[in-house]
Amino acid sequence: MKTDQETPKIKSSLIAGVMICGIVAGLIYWFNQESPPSHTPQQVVSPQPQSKTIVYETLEKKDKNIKRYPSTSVELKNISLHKKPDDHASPTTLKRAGRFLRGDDLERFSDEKVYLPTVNTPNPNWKEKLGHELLRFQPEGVKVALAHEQSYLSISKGKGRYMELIVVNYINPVSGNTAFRALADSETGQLIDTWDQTHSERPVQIKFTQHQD
Amino acid sequence: MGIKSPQHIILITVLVTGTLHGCLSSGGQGGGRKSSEVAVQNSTMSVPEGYGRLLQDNPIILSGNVNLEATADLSKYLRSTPDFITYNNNLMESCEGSGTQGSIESCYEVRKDRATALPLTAVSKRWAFPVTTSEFAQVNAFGHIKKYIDRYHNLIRDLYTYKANPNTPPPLNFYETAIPRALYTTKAQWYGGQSLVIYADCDLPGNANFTPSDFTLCFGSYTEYPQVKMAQDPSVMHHEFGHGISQVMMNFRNIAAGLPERSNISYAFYDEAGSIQEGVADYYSYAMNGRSRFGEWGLIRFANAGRPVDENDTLHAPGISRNVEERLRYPDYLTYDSSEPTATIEDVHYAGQTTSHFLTAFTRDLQETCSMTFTQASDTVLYLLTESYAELGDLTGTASDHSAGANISEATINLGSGLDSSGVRISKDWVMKVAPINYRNFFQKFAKYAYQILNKGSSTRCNGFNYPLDNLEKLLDSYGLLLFKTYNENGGNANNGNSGTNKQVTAANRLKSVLISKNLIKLDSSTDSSPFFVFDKRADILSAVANLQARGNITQISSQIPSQLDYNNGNGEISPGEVVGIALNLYNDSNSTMAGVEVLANDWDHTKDDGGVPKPCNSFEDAWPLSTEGAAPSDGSGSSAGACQWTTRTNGTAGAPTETGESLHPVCFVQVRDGGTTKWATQDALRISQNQDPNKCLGGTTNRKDCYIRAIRGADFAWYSKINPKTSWGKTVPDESGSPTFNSNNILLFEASPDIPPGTVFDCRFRVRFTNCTECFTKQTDSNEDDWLDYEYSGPLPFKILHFQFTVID
Repeated sequence: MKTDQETPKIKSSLIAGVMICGIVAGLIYWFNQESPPSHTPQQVVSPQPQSKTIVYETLEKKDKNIKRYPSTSVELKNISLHKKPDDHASPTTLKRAGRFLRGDDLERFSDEKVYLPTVNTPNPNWKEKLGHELLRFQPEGVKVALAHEQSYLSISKGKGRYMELIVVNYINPVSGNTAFRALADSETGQLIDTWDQTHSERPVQIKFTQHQD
Repeated sequence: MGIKSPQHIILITVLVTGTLHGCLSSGGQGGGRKSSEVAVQNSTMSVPEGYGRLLQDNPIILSGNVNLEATADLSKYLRSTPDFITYNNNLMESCEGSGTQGSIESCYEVRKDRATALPLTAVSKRWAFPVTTSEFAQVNAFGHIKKYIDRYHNLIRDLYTYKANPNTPPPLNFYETAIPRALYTTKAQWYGGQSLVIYADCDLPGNANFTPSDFTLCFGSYTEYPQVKMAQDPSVMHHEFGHGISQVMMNFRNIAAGLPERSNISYAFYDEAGSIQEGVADYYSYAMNGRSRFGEWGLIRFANAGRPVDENDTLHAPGISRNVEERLRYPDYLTYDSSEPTATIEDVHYAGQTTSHFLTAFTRDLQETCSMTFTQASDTVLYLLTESYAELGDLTGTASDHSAGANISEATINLGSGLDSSGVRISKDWVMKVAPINYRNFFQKFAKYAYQILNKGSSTRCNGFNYPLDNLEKLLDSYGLLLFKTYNENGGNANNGNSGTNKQVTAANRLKSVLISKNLIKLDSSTDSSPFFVFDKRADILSAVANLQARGNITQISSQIPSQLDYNNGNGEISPGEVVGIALNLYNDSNSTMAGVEVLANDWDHTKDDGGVPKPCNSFEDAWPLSTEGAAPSDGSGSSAGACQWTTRTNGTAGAPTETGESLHPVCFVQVRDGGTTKWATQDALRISQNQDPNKCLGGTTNRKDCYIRAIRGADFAWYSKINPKTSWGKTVPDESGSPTFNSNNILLFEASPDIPPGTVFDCRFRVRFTNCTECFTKQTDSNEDDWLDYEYSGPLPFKILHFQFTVID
């Protein structure tokens, strides 16, 4: 009986030992196959609320007027919040009237004492005017989420033009969202130049049909 | 892609999958690595900390089954060995800079979709998720794009530190690199240091995109097969990431110089920059996997939209092979879709195949001639692409921190960084439309760097050998791309761009690259055709304007135009108050295929000031108008600023005293009564004769030159892929009905003032050129066959002038 009782214990010990050895050997084999990198893990800090995060404002057409308000979380659902560009991304560290300068002869005109005629005057309502420009041909329901990144004073042929660097996000519930970066006139809100447009693998074709007599 | 009938799609799918099957089962380039097909449970605790599992390739390749069902159990294609992902708690990673500069703490991250605010978080510090989950797609995207990002950063760091070495000026350096010295201090190597956000499970049905404005990549899935995600196919992700790094390269110099503006990889639904870029992105995918096609799972299997990158691939139609006579030659194959070889489709992806096939052929040549490994050869091609894009996208105009010009502040490309009167950088107009990337100048630039790096000065950078330039020229020619006469080493500067060192192409190597005289492009004059198409259907135009505006392609539309385009009457004529689309009915009167046709409707230098009144010059090839019809007085002998024969060096911005009398003028003139006769005059002359308030001009009181008819900026250039011999574009690219499909890239948009008196006659003087044109890029009068200088694209000489004359009908 004793023997009979001990045999299973020995057997089970042996089996357990073999299993442990097998697992250890398996683990050694497995780690030898693909060892984790030996370098000290480099930690990247998890995203924190950013002080330089751009604030988005929504522009919406209501009864022929442009309504402007801080973008809601629903409106921002499909927009990537991002930081303001670093100052090194500005054309120069030279400023005038609190704005970065771009264009010609910047050194000279960074001296506020040097007279600089300007072709426009910043308008506190430039965003509403821009909203009107951006939305007047758009179908009902389309909104614009606007991010203001920087203010510029652009100099060409000895004349200044106040401009705003913006990111325009069209929120279109039907045909999808689009985004680009632009310079806009600080007085009229008119777009002056655009870039950084979305590159889609399968853009929606804009087709034109011929007139038939 | 063109519209196909359901039956057509089924037939093509059967053919393609059958062909694919043949390819895979024969162990060809697309040959799969059949897995053991034992499902691997990718559970959290099955991997060590920091690890997860990736699909090592796309499911078609892993399964060896071209017909793999969307519902297939992809866990069968996981390997049991885990993959290192990251020790970070979120799916994000940093990137090293160079030395102590340019490190980016938050370099890239992966999130589910645009609605997700933070990158994926590890579970128990591990990254293993069931293969059907969105989390798995995110980890898969991270792992595969990380591989390319690591390769990219290593390559750029190697170029910056050892190969291109911008901190060492010539003659100590062996060539003038376009890589800027400030690359790392400004983080221009990573678009200014933003975090690239990759959305692995985007709400983007059957699509993927790259958005530079927030530096994001988006990978969608199929509505019909929601379990099939682009993020399961590394070849698709590498293609899309390729767009991202091309955009980064194009803006190395702009970011380093602190410019706010950026160059784009493309500007229209179809343009040659965009088509070359698609081929380059296909090549990026090839550089990672060496396969002869890409997108087997993400594009081919469920959308019939993948592409081969090598003539040996069995997807190709019969008659295409690596044989020098049977390559995917420009321009013959610009509209070729391997799945529908008889169709002609004007699309950047298909047109880009010549580029990808050339680049893979060049890679093989480097492997053979230089005894390079595949990685060495493809890294060399990526090096040349980096230099080419960095120079072509340069908005500073200097091309290098050690410029070819006598003075490094002198522009040698894209005219220069000055601003026009509205504050737009002139160089940006050059990159976008005036002298944009096309098949000629892209491959000329690529060849310049190949020559300077691999051949010039007994270079031994071909793995210890000197790379024979004849190889490159003959290879380019076999793809129809030897369209340039010199390597244009001396750039396009007004003062020294036609002097100095400039290597010439060996003419005997040009056997298949066809050049055609610009005089052979015309308006279709056949009796059954109209020379122009006018589009003015209200719904079409309103939709086009809204779409182009939302995409950021067009900027201003006059406040004189009502927001619902109420004046648009759809009568096929131009009426007061309308926004109209105009397409020239272009005809190729040569015996060869013309390609890369561009029509320009932007302002150019074609008037002369006559006592304070600008008048149209008639000393150009069109000899228009007659002296009795209002032309500017002749220049007499010699040429100086202000004369018709003088082309502005500054795009009309300098004015007095540098360029007195030089300015640009819009394309359209108008007929006015002058006593008993009619004359061609400026639109302001009509306004004065009508006694109209300048406030009512389309551009307002400060812009009276195009008071009545104005091309809309951003829609003031049009592209056409190719025109077959002795036919028109419309007959070259017909749809199923036999008529052409007009896309936005084919159309010029104009706005017409509501105040135009009905019956008024306008004449718009468009400039037209094409890529394989004899005189449009090479200055025939130059004994060295050098290129036109940058400023000359402000004038008439590199173009064919075509007129569009119309009467405004109420």
